[in-house]
This record gives sequence, C-alpha cells and structure tokens, in this order.
Amino acid sequence: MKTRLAIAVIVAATLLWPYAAGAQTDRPLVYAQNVPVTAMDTAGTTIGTVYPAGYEAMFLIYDNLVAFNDKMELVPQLATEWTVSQDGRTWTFRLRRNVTFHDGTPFNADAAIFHLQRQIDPQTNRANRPLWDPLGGAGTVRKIDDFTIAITTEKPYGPLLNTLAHGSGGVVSPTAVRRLGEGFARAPVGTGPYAFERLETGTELVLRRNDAYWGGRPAYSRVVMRHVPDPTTRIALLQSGQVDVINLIPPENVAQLQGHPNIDVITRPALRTFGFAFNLNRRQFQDVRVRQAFNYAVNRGPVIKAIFKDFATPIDSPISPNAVGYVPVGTYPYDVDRARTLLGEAGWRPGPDGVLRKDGQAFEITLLTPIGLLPKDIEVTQAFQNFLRVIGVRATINRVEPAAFWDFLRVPPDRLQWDMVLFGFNPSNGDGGYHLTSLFESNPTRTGPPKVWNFTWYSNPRVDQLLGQADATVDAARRRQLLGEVARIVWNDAPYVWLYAENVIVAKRKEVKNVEVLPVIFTILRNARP
Amino acid sequence: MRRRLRRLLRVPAMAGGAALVAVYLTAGLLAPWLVPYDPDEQDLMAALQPPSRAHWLGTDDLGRDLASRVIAAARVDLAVVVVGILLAVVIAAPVGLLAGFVGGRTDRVLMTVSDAALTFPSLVLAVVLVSLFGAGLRSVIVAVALTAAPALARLIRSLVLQTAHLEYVDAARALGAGPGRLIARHVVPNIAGRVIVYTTLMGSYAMLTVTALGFLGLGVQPPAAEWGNMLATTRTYLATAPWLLAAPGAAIIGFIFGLNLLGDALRDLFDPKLLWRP
Repeated sequence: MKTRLAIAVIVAATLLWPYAAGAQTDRPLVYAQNVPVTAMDTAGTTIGTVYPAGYEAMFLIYDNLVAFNDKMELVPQLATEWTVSQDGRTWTFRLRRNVTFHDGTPFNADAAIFHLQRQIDPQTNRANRPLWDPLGGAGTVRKIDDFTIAITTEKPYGPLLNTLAHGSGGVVSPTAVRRLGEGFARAPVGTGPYAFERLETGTELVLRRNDAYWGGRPAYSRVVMRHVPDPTTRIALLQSGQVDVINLIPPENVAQLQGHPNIDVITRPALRTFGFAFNLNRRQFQDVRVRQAFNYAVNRGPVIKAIFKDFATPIDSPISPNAVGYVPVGTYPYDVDRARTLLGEAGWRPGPDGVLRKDGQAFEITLLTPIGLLPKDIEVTQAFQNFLRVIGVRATINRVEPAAFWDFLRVPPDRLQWDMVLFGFNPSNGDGGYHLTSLFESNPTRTGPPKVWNFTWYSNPRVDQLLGQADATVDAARRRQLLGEVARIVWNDAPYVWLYAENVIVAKRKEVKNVEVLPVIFTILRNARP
Repeated sequence: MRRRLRRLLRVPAMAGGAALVAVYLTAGLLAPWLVPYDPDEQDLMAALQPPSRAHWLGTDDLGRDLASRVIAAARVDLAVVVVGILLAVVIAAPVGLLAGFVGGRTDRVLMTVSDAALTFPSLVLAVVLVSLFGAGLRSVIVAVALTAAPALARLIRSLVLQTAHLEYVDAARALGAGPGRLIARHVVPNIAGRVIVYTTLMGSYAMLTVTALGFLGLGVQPPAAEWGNMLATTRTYLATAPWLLAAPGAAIIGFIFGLNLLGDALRDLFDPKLLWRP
C-alpha cells in the first residue's frame, strides 16, 4: 500500500514538475498579431515593413537613443541625458556605456552616428522621410567623445526627440549592416532585450533572450510573434491559453473577454484618426462645397456606438486629441439638409431616381477599403455608403486585400483607381505636426507617387508655409498655435470626410505583467514578465 | 413518365427535397416582394437586435433586417448558381458531344484540356479565376461555370460514347443520317435526362463554391447580401450575436440538402436501370 502511494506521488510529481519548475523561465511569450512581421530594418529598404507588427518587433530587437514610456513621455534609453542649445539647433547626447550589440559590436558614439547618418540619408533610408529630413540638409551629426554626440539641425527642429523615439530610431549594429546589406532587414542586430533568432515569413518571428542586456536579464527565454489574421482565431487562442497577448480585438468581443477570469483587456485612446479621403484629382471633388456636404452627411455618433461599441471618439481636428500640437478646430454636425443645400449650390440636382446629377452626369463614385486591415473597415464603409445614398450619391465599394491596399495609394495622381478611400494615419512619433505634414503637405512632383501619404493630392501653399514654420519652432506653445492654424485650414478645406479616432484594444493573459500599449498602436513587450 | 413522377413524389424524402427547392426558388424569384424591409436599409441605432416580432431573425451589425437580407441573398446566390450551371452546360455540351462523337485526336485534345482543369481542386480554380477577373457577380458566375464544365464535358462524352454505337443510332446512320441529325435526333434526347440529373446535383457544389468565394471576399461585393459574405462579415459575432451566423448558415445547408434530395429523386426518375422496377 505504501509502495503504491509512493509510486503515485512520484508519477504525479514527474507529471507536474515541468509546470512547477519550468514556468518561470522557459515558456516563450507568444504574441498573436493581425499582420505578419516581414522586415525589421529601421531604414526602409526594398522590403516593406508591415505596420504595426514590424515596429513591434523592432522595439524588442533595438534600443532607441530616447524612448516613449506608455504615457508617451520621453525617457532615456541608449542616451542617458541630453541638452539642447539656446538657438534650438544643437542637441547633445550622453550615451550609455558598457552596451554591446547582439553580435558583440560595442555600442558607442561611432555606432550611434552610423545609425543616425543611415537614417538621415535618403539614399540609405527611404521610409519615414518627414521624420528624418529635418535632420538632413546642412545639418550634422558629430562625435564629441566616445560616449557623447551632438546633432545639429539646419533649422530648429521641435520634435527631434520624438523622431529618435520613433520605431525607425532603433540603433542598428554597424558591423551587421555592412556585412548583410539588404539582408539585414531579415536578420537584424540591435542592442535590445531580445535578439533575432529566426523568421518564417508570413508565419512567425522568433526572438531569443539577450542575456547580456544592459537593462537586466529579460524575463522570457523567447518571444514568438505569430501572424494570426483572423480576430476570432486570435481570441480563441488567447482563451485557450495558447498565446499570451493578442492585438486588434473587434469591439464587439471586448465584453466577452472582460468576462473571462484569466484575461485582461487593455484599451487606450489611440493617435490614429480615420476618414474617407477624397481623390482631389476627380472633378466632382474639386468643389469644396461638395466635400463639406459629404462631411455633413455622416452621422458619426451611431457609427461609433453601433460599430465601435463606443471604443472610438469623433474627431474635431484632423489629428487626435492625444497628439502633440492638438487643438480642437471644428465639427461637422449631422445635417442632411445642409449637405443637400451645399450640393445644390455646387450644381448637383436630384434626378428621377434620386441620384444627383450635374451636366447629365450622375454622381457615382467608388469607395476603396481594405478588408480586415483597419478596424471595422468594411462595416464603416457600408455605413458611409448608406449615408451617401441618403444625399443622392451612388457609391460602389471596392474592397481589396490588406497587402494590396497600399499599392492603390502610392501611385502617381493619374493612376489612382478610386474616388474615395478609407484611411487612418497614426503619427507613430506621437507628434501632430508629423501627422499633418505626412497627409497634407504638397507633394514635390505629380509625376511620381506621393512623398508620404498625401494621396489625396491636397495642396495649399499656406498650409505648406505654416508646416515649415511649425517644424522650425522648438517653443511648444508657438508650435501648437501654428499646427492649430494648419488643422483649421485643412479641416475646412475638407480633403477628407473626418470620422473618428480609434481605441487600441489589446488583450493578454492575466499571468503576463507589464504589457505596455502605446497610443501609437504599438504593443510593447520588452518589459513583459510572468 | 407522369405516373412515375407521381409515384416518386409519394416518397417523403423526395417530395421534401422538391418542396424545399421550390421554396428557395420562390424566395429567390419573389425576393423583392417577400422581404419585410429593404435589405440594404441601415438603422445603426437598432443594430444587433436579437430575433423579435419586428425583425424575426434579428438585425445585423449595421442594423439591417436579417430576414430580408437572407431572402435577398437567396436571389443572388440562386441566380449565380443557375446561370453558372447553365453556362457550364453551354460550354460542356459541344465539347462533350464533339469529343464523344468525333473521337480520335479531337477527343484526345479536348479531354486533355478538361483533365488538366480537373486536376485543380475546384475551389482553388475558382479563386484563381476570380482573382484574374476581379471580384464580383460576373466573375463568380464564370468561375462556377468553368469549374463545373470539365466534369460535365467528361460525363457528356461518356454518355455519347455509350449511345452513339447503339443499334438504332447505327440504323439511322445506315439510313444516311448526317452527324448533325444523329446528334440532334438520336443522341441528345437519349442523354438529356441524365445530364439534367447530374447538373442538378452539381448545383449543390456550385452553391458551395459561390458561398465560399463570398466568404473569402471574392464574390458579390457588400452591401449586396450574399450568404457567404454575410457569414464572413459577421463571424466575429459568433459569441455575442450567434443568430447573425445561424441564419445564412441554415439557408446554405437547407438549399444543399433540398437539392441533393431532389437530385437523388431525379436520378431515380431518369435512371434506365430503375425503369422496370415496380
């Protein structure tokens, strides 16, 4: 009898042992993402980085000089302290000592300068140009001693620290970049808490613990970032405990997850604002009254309530209330009569079928939307189509695969295949000036694709001028005033039907602590621990 | 014939199949008059209501009446299936007749082509075709037709081979009938019944293709109601509003069930082997 009991105890202990002993260190942290990680180079190379997955991986692999905490405050990372000169043009950074890259290369002033110059030079970095261009031109980056550098910009550049804290500000190993060239994007080397192990494109990225991390030993032996496009599957995986963290949760599933005993839901108001962009090259949209009429035709309240379950906020500026430089600039209340009047003034009269006509042409347009890339994209598009139907505009929906979506936007103006498109921009450095510049600064040429995301081909010299001034202003109050002016002009010019700012909704298992969700949509796992 | 039909309809399963298909066809044909609400009319404030008196299948995520959408979708889905299968017959009949009747090299070439098409799983082929032509109603019809046609062509060919050498056909040939007359007067009438049975059974596969394409976002584009895309756009509501998925799901199942019952019945009706059974 005793023997039998002893055997039973031993068997039970053997079976349970892995849970008791292994739970601490050897379990990987698994994060299911809506889009796959494809490339992890901070400088955009020919392989595009898929947003936000790519940057979420980069925030684990690399350290930045300066970083955001989850309140979007700027805190030291590889730079321990910094000062800015009186004229606002020269920034001096003291660098952290005793840091090495995953490949053994020491981090020092040379490495920091290599990284900065690589980001600034448009030849080596094609992405995020509005962030890095202000550091270029006559600007310089120089070494003061082995652990001090100075960045001097041509004109004062207010959001410089925001640029350094942006996902593209991750410091890369100069040795690895030189050795791997373009291949670096698929075998990145940084100084961050987790190092690259392997990438199965489209499926998963595996990172391993950087035991030598300067900030202390990271909690997990591995971090797995898995691509799970279907939200229902992500939720099921989380509920069954097969993954620890999931992103992009449909609002209608929040209540269900909140009721789960082992799951936490994290929601944050986000910086990404959404709208339907007009293709301003189309003749019918060149009349501002038409664009304003469309804005009056949308009833945002019910959209936010029914589709987003109130996990979104109607916007009163092109930029989010949480972005740097935000001031409220106006509203377009739901007013169908006003919309009809404005359209009437613009020469559009209802035909016998209720569809508006002008010069014998019916008001028929196409709405482009991706499926499953933006939160509730297809639902919002259908709601919008219905609002347009009410004012006599016949819209057909053209929905495209997420991967193909961007190619519909990044083309020269004569090759745009849509009349309106659902779009959301996230100023991933937290700065409203970056948001406004990316979307509304005139493109330098009409022969190529838009410089950033001005695919409406909006162009207003006054806006360009104010944006230039704002970029060169370090004083926060003055800058806010300038950006507010830009926001007001753009709001009234209405190159978009302004809609809402979303909430980021992320969920995690209760046992995982310190998952940070930034209002810039990124889920940061570098401090996560059991 | 009529007696046999009456006898078959007395078998409950077959009568049930026929009745079910009749219900779907009626719903499809009369959809615009049957729907209680405009299927595209949104009322965002009344979104996601469970089944009730006013909305007897509830409302969807945009506040549209689900019953109206399921009925409106019947029209779209059935139209695609019917037109798609008819188009398949139009493509397959000449190929099958030619291959079976002429034989030789013509036969080999045509059948190699149809075999090549058959090597693709039909859904894969459909996805490829729709990607080529772009999503939408027309592409789905073409995809249904082209995925159904190869098998149908093979069937027609084999029926022609069986029929073309029967004695009465030889007799007609000996009397000097040309190939056109032989096909039209002797071959086609003899194989038509079995082709009809087969195309009926094909309808259920076609419906699966249509709704699968809709589910994948390659079919009829929203806001048009279609069972497959209704399932796709509401599947995140499985836990919170299951009626959104139940309604189109049940509609698909019911149609396929009915069509299979009917197809079996028709097979029994036309099958010559069953001709002498009591």
